[in-house]
Amino acid sequence: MKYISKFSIGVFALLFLVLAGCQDEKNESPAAVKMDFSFLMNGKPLALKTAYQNAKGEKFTVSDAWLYISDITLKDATGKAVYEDKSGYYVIQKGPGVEKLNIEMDSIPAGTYSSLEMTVGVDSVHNHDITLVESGLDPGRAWTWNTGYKFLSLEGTCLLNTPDERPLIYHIGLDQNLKTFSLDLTGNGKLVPGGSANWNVKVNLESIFSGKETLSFYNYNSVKADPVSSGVIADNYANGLLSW
Amino acid sequence: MVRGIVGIMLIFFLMVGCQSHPKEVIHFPKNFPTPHLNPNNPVSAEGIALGKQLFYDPRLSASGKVSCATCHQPDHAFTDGLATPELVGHHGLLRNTPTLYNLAWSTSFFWEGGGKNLESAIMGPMLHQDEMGGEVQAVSQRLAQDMWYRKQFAAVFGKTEIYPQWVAKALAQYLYTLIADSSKYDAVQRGRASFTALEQQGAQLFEQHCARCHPAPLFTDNQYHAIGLSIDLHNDTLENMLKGRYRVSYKPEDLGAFKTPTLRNVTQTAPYMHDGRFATLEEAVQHYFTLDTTSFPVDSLLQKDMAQFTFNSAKTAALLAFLGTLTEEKFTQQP
Repeated sequence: MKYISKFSIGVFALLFLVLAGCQDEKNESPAAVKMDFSFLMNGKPLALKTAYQNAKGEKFTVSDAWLYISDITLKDATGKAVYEDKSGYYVIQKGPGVEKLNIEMDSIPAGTYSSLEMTVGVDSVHNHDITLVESGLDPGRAWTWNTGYKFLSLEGTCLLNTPDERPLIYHIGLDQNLKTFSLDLTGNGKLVPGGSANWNVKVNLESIFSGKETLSFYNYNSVKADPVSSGVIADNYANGLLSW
Repeated sequence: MVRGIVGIMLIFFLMVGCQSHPKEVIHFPKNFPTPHLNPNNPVSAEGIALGKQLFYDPRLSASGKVSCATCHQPDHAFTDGLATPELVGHHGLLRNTPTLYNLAWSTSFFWEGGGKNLESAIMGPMLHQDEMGGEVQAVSQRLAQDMWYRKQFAAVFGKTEIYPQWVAKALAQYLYTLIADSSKYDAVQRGRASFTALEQQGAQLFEQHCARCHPAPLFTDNQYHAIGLSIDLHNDTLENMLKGRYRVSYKPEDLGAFKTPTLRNVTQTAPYMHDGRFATLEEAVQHYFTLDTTSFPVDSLLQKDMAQFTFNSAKTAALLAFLGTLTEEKFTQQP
């Protein structure tokens, strides 16, 4: 013990201060963003239980629509992910008596961002074990017989010209159907220290029914864990489900 | 001085050595394959005790009347003696209740194999409307009002909240302990007992015709096979539930295929097959003698195994005698 000199104490104290100082390179307050989602059908706010027509002229109504948003990322002009929320899973929903339309993000480093990325779905690690607890993950939104979450759920009725109306049930999940969307922030991506921004994101539901393939309800009224038909639907909405 | 230092180092290394070989929480039989445990659910004595308590607790259901043990009865080798269960006030179910022995060696769960791990599979009945009623958040809140559960969950999972996912994890830890490895068959293997002449005959027939899919020591290969059961494969209703593993894999070769059940305690798990269609073990065994390979899917290797088999009642008696040696009385008393 008698070998620790005042000199050594001084060196350690200096090191400590230098290291502590190095930890706050940017002494700026973080920014916050509130994202507001709106469900649209053909550009107009979704009205539940109202008759719409798909691209084939077949009528249908929607009673409930929801999706899982995860892995929200903000990238700078070089494409570097400056902010990434890897542990948040958010349900965006419009249904009977239910509206979940906001995501609040705080602790975003101030700066200028070029793109916002979001994944519709749940990553494969959490998709293979529904007993992993994370904020927002709801086992009630997973299948009971085939381990995994639904990524996008659309329910309603297909009003076909047949005696029996068919239910409209799209429960799209499976690792293969994970889709990431990139929204351009050029010109609108500056977040000042301590500031807050409001971003409005559209959920364009009509993208589900056409794109790679134009769907007919005669073939696509109930789609769950079939990799082929769910893949067609996911490939449709990969193009345009989320936009400004 | 030197002896003192050596002494201290010796004690230090002994302590470190002891810590790197912790006492086994579950004793898995040495002659069994390596079990598949979930790294997300490390097993502890407290976890097992918690899971055991939950298994017999009807508060896990929305109605407060159905526990896991309602269908998985220990004195029925964790089945219920029914073709398919019908729980009061719900729609009848379409699948025979499977036994819960030796699940530590399964890599997929349910008759069609949609469960990717035991923990996730357990959430299935908890969430199902017609099994335990699906109100898992309300169930968790109900359990959280019980001080014993609060303490146990905190001890096992490190938090005072109770999540339905952790209920499933604790249950899985208990299920990993349901190991069937002490039947007469096992005693014979260990040189502590002998088969009767009839049982020995049955053992030989079993090895020739059954062991491909039902190999020892698990008496299941944990795979999926079509065995010529009469099934309406053109029926698209019930979300392909009538099509077997095809419902999960969407592979044509999986049409009509179901998971090979273990044959351990098979004398106690009547009725048989995924829908309990065979009331007796004799009917189940005889099904294989009359395989209809033209009308319904039959695994090609099974066809080969049975091609040389000529039926007679003596062979049935021998096989039944052998299957009787796979019975053990463990776990038949509810704690």
